Amino acid sequence: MSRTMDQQATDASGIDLVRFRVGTLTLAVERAKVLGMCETQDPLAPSLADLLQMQESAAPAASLGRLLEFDHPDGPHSLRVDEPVIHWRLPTSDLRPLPPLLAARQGLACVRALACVGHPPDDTLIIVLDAWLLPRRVTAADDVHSPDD
Amino acid sequence: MSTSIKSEVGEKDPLASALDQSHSADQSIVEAATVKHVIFAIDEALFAFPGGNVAEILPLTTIHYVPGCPPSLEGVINVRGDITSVIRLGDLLGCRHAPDSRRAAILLGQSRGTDDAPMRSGLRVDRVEDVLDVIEESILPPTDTLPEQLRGLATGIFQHHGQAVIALDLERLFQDYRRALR
Repeated sequence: MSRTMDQQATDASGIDLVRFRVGTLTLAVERAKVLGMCETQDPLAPSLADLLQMQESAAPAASLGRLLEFDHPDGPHSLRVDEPVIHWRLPTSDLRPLPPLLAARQGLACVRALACVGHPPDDTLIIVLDAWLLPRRVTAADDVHSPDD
Repeated sequence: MSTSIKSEVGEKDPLASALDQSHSADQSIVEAATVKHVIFAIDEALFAFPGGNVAEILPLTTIHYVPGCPPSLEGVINVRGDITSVIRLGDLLGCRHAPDSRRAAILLGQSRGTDDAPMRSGLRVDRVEDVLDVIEESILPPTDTLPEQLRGLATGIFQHHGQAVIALDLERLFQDYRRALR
């Protein structure tokens, strides 16, 4: 009986994320660190792809998307991401730390964890970011666009 | 008749002699110390890792790109639920990889972890040539003429089908890579 209850508690444990696309990548951020979201029609709005210095094949085509407002120790900032943007609960058992060599050579502190959903070759990799560790780039556009949630 | 039997007892027949020779040859092979190696190619160059450092040989599968990694770290793969990095081994050895083919593979390398925690990573190679026991005595020390990127990594050189194979130290490779020395 107690084993069943423990099992249920384990199954229920998870982390609430906001999951979205940036180009060909699927990324996620803790839901608690996303302050708001709005549509954007401005292709010049600061983009998460630029902050992550994504290679061209993974970077988004010039599509319109959503502006997410992230919590940050230096103050909230807004970044353009691609749709769909969804709330999502990831079971903690599916959350994986970065592989050791990747962690040692990773140039972006904000890349914190990984998760694979599905089975190869149709699996999807989810890159879990820590919004507090996102590189901060203050631009004029950053001040202009404020999500209205 | 009795002379014929005496002859059979006193001299070995050809079959018995051949069996004896085969038995002796088997014994000499068993007695020689061998080390299992996984031999693989990057373009036309042959290299090898000790078998104990290769947990698995995987077919080339979808490699997921992760931003922020150096170009030599191609991304990650899903190995039955475990997420493992994949390194372009040629980039670390100063060799250009051949174009992708059906023979391309990912060696799942694992360090035994002496001072450091054990590490695992996929290593992209162009093809796996063979997995075989190499007689230790046939492995010669690495020469000074090896390219600079192989010095310190090469533990020996041996012949395989008339071609030189450079045996590599995977523990050192992982340590150097982790410290961004490669």
